[in-house]
Amino acid sequence: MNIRRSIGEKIFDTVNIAVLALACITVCIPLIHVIASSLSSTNALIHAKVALWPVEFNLDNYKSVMQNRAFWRAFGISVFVVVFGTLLNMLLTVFTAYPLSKSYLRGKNGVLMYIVFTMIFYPPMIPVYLVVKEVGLINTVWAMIVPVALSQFNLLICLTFFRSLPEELFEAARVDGMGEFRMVTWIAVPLSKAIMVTLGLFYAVFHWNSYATSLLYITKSSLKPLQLYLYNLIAKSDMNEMLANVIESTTKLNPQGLQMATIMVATIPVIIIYPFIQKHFIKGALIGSIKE
Amino acid sequence: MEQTRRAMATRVPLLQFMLKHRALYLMLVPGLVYLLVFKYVPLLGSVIAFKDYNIYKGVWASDWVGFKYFYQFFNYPQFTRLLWNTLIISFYQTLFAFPAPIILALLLNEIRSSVFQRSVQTILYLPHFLSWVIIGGLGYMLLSPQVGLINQWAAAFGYEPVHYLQEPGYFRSIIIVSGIWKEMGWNAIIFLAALVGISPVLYEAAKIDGAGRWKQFVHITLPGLLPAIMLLLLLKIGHTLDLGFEQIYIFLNPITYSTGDVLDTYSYREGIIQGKYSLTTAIGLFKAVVGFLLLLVANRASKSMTGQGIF
Amino acid sequence: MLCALAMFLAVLAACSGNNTAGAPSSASPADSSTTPAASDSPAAPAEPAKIKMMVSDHSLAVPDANDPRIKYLEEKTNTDLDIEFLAHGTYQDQLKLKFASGDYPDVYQSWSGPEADLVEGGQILALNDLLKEYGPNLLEKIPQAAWDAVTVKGDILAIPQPALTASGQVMFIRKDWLDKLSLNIPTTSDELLNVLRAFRDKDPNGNGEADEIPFSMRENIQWGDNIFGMWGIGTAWTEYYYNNEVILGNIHPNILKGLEYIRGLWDEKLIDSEFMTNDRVRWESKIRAGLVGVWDHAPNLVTQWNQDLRASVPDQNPEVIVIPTPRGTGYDGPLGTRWSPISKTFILTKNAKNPEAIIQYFDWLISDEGQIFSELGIEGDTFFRATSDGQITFDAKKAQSIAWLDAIIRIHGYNPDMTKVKLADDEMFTYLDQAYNIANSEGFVNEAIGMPPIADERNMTTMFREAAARVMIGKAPLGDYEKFMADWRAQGGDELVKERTDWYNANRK
Repeated sequence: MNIRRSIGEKIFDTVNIAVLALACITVCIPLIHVIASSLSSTNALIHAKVALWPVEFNLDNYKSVMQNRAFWRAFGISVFVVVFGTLLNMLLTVFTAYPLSKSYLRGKNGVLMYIVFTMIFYPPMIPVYLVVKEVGLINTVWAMIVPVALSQFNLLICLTFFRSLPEELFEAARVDGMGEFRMVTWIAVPLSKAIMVTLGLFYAVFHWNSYATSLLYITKSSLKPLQLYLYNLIAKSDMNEMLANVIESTTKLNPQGLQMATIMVATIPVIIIYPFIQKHFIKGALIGSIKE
Repeated sequence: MEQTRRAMATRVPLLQFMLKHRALYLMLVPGLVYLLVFKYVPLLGSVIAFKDYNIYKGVWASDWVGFKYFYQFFNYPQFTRLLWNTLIISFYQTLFAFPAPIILALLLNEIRSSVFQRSVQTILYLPHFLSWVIIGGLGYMLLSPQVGLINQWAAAFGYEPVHYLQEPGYFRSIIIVSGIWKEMGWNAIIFLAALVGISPVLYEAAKIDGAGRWKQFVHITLPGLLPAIMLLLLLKIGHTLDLGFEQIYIFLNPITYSTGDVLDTYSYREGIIQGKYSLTTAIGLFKAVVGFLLLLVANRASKSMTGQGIF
Repeated sequence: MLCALAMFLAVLAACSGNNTAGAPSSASPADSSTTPAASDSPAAPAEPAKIKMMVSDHSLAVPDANDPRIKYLEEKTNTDLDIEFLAHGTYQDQLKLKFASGDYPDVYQSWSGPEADLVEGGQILALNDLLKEYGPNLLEKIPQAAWDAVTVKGDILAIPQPALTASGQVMFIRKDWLDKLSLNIPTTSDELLNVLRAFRDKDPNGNGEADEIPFSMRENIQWGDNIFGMWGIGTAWTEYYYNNEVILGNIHPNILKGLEYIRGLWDEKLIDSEFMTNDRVRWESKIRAGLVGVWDHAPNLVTQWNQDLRASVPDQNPEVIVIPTPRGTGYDGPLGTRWSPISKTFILTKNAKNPEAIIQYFDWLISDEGQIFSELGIEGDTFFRATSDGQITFDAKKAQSIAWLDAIIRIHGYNPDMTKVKLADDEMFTYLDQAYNIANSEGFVNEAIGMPPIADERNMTTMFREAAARVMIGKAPLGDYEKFMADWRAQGGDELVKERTDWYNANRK
């Protein structure tokens, strides 16, 4: 193979690396500050003494968050929701996207409009609550899974990628007598590994970080997922300005530190898992399959 | 051959077609039922935009008031400004924030060292997990006239501090830049996945034909990314009037209403906080209708220009 | 088949909106005549009355059903309590959702009287007769102003907890800075100006840098009410009867004085240059960093501010006190901030099967015994009575564990004896008492209390903030605000004024 690169290409590569490194720095510095703040004492934060290193290092913020049994219960709930939620999500997404990726499917555009309409017109809070209630999901762990069983956005992405799979593959399989359901499982999915993994990541992260799905549906504290638990801890009561007079009190636990501790909790699992996902971003998933 | 096959296909009656491909139609059922139950049925509740919604009376028995809340909303003396701010910020986002992750993905794709590529990617998506409240705090640390870094450096050179967060002229830039900073890395993931799906065989063949990196980029990479790009662009257009509420709310203050007050923040202040559900729903309907119409137009344009479209 | 499913679900959704029509109202006041009138002799063989309550958790850790204090409370009031604590951040929304789906408790907590919708729909119980029979303590100890705030057309629609103080926002000042600079407490707006100028120039925090912020407030023009209060104006949801009209403070001519004053502060750099972007955390941080001289806050927080500052800037020997709102130049009306006589309220619904028991429950809570319980907990557990002289001491370490008792269950207002015991710190108590005295001796009427809420405020919130902000930071002349006042009235404000005035004339004159 030709490994000689032209001068132009070398310059491009150097500039590329420089630009990306610069981007990393603009991200790293604020993040380091965030981490340092979450490890500093309240006093240091008040006097704005924290730059890139914790001042008066203490783990109070983390201790107060993680010492509670309630925290771990919420953690468990979140794990459950992530696992089963993502499972349901992927099943629905893949099996709804596949037929819609076939250009010959009649009625396809109507169905697509049906789907996209719901992306743009979203229902008001009270009717949604009423439906969830009628279906009997209030205060069950499924309230965090079923009402968000399918993301139309992820569906469309899946659909777009399935469309790019060559139809000849499926023709050949059909000739061999393979049914559509098996074709989805054994052909479409394996060939779209990067996208499957990406969508799985999107859904999992969504479930792990969401509190909106439980904000109004879960009132039993034993069922609260992690983010809702943390959200209540930070007591976003400030949002209701008209009540500000009534429940005002100076913040005891430093909310900045708490917020940052919350972010840590949200991010660390993703950071740990992401490298495993990156492995699947391998080029050339299609090699060989067409030749068969 | 092809033509007759197609011609024959259209003559087959629908029911027969559906029967033949029943597996495919069956696959669609769960997803469509889900959307019906959890989206369409509650959407009927949007009718409260045309009613004086009374919680006790419920959705159906509340009094019908027609377009009253729409008029209330349109009669806000600064309504045009709200609309304009929303459109302008949306436009800037499409112009700057939309291409950023694409360019990032392309740049990352050209990196040879897999370790460097992966680390950079991981670092850059981290801001996605910060809440806007935190980012607002970071923005304050950068831009505050009292303690902000930028003003401190400027003071060293003898400049007066500028209250960036309080100048209408800077507001939109702050929104766009902070938006890019936060989401660029995460949004690039989709494009990276798309790049992975482009068959290396094409690149091999191109190299053999003597095509340099630039030519490969233009004739293989870009077309390979086109479906993903057009899909996301169309969806963005469909959400033209839907800006990230939290982001704008964090940075907004009364002085910057002139360039930064958008439909969502107005709706929050005059609707949600005061419990005015009908008004909020009316504004939501307005945004959705406009967005959907724009989407239909854009879809048609996209189909004719690039061959890509949602439907 | 999909259509049928859709219709079925639609019908279900519709039904749940108005299924309460069928609920029999077994709790009509007429029944009370058959039960014994005495409120302090519980019918001995009676089963504990079941009460279902919905309250906000006030962002505190809440007890479970077996908590000893709940048990104690149930014992003393002969009730079986089923209290649902809803997250404070979404409390209002949660309540609305529950009501919308037909899930009504017997009694629920709010911060005002019940919503007009519910009253119109006949969902709320009027309490007049019940109170006469079963709530003599309540009627005696809760001031008339509090009852008035929850009375509509003569019907008392809630049990109000009287506010700790008449007005809810007062002016705080760093007394140690005044002392250091040999200044007197300012009593007029001009004197306040001089004090602020001294704070700016004379380095009262003693660190050699001109970093003092003489006066600070928060974004959205909040927590600066006492400045406008120097001319008797409230800027949020405050209405006045002026010139035979009911108008919002935002279009009262006296507001111009307040705006002009702040503009002056801005020009002379006497006000925090970031006051328009200060969120709560930043504002608090600045004060606790020992940078701010004067600010406004709730009177009961004077103890907390003193404690916080002693922890964060001990070398300054900080002392925070509350001062009466200074008098604005050329003004001789009431000073301070608007009176709000109630803090939280409890509302009974038609669902309640034992309204008498509910009234008795609250009646006990406001009795002397009940007051001790809601502030101090159970004797022997969180407080102790000395056998020699009956002196009560409170175990402050356990205060956090019964914080919910005070915030959620308590129904009484200010009880100086209890507060003194809880603080267990005479110095702090002096500050608190002084703050409360000031808060109770200043302030003015807010006509909006007791009136139905404003349905369409003609964008006053948005437009006021913008117009006022421009003037306050010098981007527009004062005349622009006058123009705003006229424009607002012309663009629909007049209709609002007429609506409110008509109601006032029909109901209040």
